[in-house]
Amino acid sequence: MSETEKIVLNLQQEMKRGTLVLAVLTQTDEAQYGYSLIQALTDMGMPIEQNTLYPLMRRLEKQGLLDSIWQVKENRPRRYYKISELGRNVRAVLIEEWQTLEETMSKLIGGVK
Amino acid sequence: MINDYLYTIGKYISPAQRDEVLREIESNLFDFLEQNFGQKEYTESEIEKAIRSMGHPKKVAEAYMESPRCLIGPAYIDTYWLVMKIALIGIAIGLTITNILTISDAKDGIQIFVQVIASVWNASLSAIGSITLIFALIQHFSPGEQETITKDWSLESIEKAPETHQKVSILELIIESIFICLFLILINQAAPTLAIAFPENNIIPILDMTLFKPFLIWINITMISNLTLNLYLLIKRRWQSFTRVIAIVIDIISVGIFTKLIMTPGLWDFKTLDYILKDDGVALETVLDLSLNLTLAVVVIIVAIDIFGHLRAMMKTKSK
Repeated sequence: MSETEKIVLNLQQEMKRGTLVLAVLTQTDEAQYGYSLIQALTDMGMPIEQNTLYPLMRRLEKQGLLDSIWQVKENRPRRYYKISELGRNVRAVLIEEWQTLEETMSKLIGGVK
Repeated sequence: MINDYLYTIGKYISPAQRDEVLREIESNLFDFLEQNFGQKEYTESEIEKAIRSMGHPKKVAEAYMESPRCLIGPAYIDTYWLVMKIALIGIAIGLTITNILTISDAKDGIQIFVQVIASVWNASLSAIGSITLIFALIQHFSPGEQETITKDWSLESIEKAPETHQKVSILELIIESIFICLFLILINQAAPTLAIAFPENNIIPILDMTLFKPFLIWINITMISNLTLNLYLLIKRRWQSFTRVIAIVIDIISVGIFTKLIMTPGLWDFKTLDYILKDDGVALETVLDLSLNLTLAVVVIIVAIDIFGHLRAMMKTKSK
């Protein structure tokens, strides 16, 4: 991998990191377990690594944005996450913020030759 | 293999979180296997794929840990190393001198050398253990977490730059601390062997240890207080009013102890000198007595100048 490719990859990961929280909050209206959420995000065009998503979900739960519950299905315990009331309120604010950011970036990028 | 993987991850996770995190990771691993290979008995290579999809055990553990695990955190590590260096230098020098002074059975230089190395090694290990334990306890009970910096941070969080009269001389403090460590080792280990040697194997001890012993605890307390003050100043990098008051009190107590030491009759045992040297002994005893009084006078003057310096600095601070 060339130096430029490394730099680009690093910056791409940083850009994605900023959007992950909102992405997770948009996909947890229905209860999801870790791997199902990875599948859902990948299907929507946002592939994500397991050891990025799982700790993130724990963090969001600690912040009160997600609720979790252990459920046993087919003899296997799984931890299911669902967006909380606080999570919904925060999501609404983040969506507005995102839309403003989108407009701003479009203007900035539009000015680039 | 999954058990081994979970065990390895568990080593890097704090006991409080371990069970829950490992349960979740195991669940995620089996989710991966089920989604990719169906519900069945999995082969080694399939399990390996699942493990590799999670990542290196250390990276996985780091991602789950809220903060890095450490015995001594960033808030204290610099002070820890500084204290360690001061203690080890003091011990090395102090014990070297003590061992040389107390050598009586050594047959040759190699024996002296081995004895010095062994005692310095032992004392250093004890010091390292004690200092590390103290700092680990400080870290545990007062982690020194960084304050959360918000957009509306207060200007009061800006530390005032020390004025000229408040600045401490770091080099002076370090040298003084090393000498204090040295002195403590000497006074506690070599005091009984302070003596004057004469021809024909006449060794005359200078101090009457029976009379000196009661002073030892007070000397130790004063020196350790001085050392603690120096370490505090090394951390804070400035004089404050209360530290100057403490320094003055330590100075006064030190002079008091030293005066009592000099003035205690019989503490400085020169009687044997008369017996061995006859008339010359009386003359030498007079000179030694005079030297002690002169030393006392010099110490009092030096301490008085030091106290005056502290008082003047405190007046300057007050006037501002």
